[in-house]
Amino acid sequence: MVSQTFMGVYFWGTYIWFLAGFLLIAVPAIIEIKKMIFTKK
Amino acid sequence: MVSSYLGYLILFGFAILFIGISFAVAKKFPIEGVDDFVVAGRSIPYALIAASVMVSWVWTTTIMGAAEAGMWFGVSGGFNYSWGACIPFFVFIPLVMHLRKTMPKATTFTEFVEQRYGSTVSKIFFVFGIGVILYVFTEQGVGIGIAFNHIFGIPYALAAFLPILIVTAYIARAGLRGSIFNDVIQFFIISLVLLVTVPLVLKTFGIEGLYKGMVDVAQNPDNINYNPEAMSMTSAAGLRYGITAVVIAMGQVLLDQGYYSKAISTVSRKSLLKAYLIGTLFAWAPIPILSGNVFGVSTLALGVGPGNGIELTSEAAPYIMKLIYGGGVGSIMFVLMIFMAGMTTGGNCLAGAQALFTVDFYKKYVNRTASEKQQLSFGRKITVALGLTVGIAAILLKGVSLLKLDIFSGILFAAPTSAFLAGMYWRRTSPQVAVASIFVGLGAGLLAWFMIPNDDINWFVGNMLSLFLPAIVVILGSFIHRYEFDFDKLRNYSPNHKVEVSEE
Repeated sequence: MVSQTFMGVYFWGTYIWFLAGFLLIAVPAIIEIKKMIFTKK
Repeated sequence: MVSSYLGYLILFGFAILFIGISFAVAKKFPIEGVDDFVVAGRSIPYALIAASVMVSWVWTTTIMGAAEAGMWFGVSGGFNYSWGACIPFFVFIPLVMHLRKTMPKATTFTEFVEQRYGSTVSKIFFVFGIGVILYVFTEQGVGIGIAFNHIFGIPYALAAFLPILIVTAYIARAGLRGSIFNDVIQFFIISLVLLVTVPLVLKTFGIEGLYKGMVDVAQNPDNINYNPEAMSMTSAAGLRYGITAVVIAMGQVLLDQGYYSKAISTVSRKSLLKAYLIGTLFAWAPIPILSGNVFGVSTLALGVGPGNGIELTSEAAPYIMKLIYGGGVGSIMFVLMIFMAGMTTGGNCLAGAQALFTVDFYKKYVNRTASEKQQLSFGRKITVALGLTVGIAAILLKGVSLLKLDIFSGILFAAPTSAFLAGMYWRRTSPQVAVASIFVGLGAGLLAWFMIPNDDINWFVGNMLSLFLPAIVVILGSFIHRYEFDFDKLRNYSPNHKVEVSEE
């Protein structure tokens, strides 16, 4: 049976993992889209 | 129930947004040829592909099904869903990188199969590829239809059909590039809903409260959700569920042209690797774990179960959303997630089907002397035809168990994967052995499904046979049957349409 500490780290840790994944995509994606919109082909 | 007008507003509002974006994309980046239409001219930056891959693999079931897995298996449910559905990508990523290296001008996986095994085997894979796409897209339509019907009371047929039409319109208009740009918008919507909801749920119930509730589930036989393994990360039932997820997802990834199109649309192999690793391992993998824990485990810990607060375990996610945000806002946010998840997955499928028909089908079987303009025109028409077919199928599938369909699809689509993998890496596998492995696996899997009377194991045995028996046939057959394929000839392959690739 898992402990309460494990459960806390597991739940919040997964959230931080997702946040990191989101930022790894979101920041460069915004930069790229900005570049595409404002650059003439 | 929330007002149906709001449901229609959401449907029509997003229809205008996404179709509008596809028109803007088509204007900014005019489609110059087949390659531009189906793989966006092989020039999309990694971050956009990562976002697109992430949302394409977020199905309606990634949220609702993983939440249900949390209810069934406790703390290990979401985790087992996650690794089970992630493993096929760790097979796919090196495979598609290898494909880009050995056959630089390939666009579709069936082009590779044709060069490697010949046109007969290629036709078999084409049928499987279209089958996967139609099945997955239809399933998304059904999921969205149920969600809109349940929350807003919009007639199921309309709620299932309209989102499919929206996706069809924007893919037919702007091809893969239009799909990717819309995926990025949908990536932000899904992510932001989760980023706000998860801490709210955890703060509201508290880890201590959830822990105590779960200890009761694991230790109190009077608890309506009593499950002694609910607090174990090594639950045997959960592990079986994870293994089945691998089998089901294997065919759904390896035979879905949409993932190949996106991988090939990246600027380079390095960019491909970065996009797929970030999109799957970093961004996608935590989502089912969060859904399993935050929706499924929370529902368990609150003492809610079938007959007490909800009717079915699949209602865990909407139940928690309503509890946290209140009926109206919670329902809308839940529907938005399901809507976006279904549309992006459907878009990925349709873009894949568009590529298969435009590149592989038209010039080979319909018009051998077709110009690229004619190919493009056919690609658009077939996209609309496929969208309408899927829309009708989704209406007809009302009331059919999605879980049962999903498990059955594992048997159908896992069988060709061994032949495909062997063809990619092993020169000794012959076309005859490839075909034999597919039909042996498919036959054995279907026999197990229909002939084993025990419904608790027939699905598991059927799926295992469908994936592993073809692997045995391929290995034994390749050693027995004398055959050697020359991989060098793939390097010089050139398709019937103009393709420009950079040296890597």
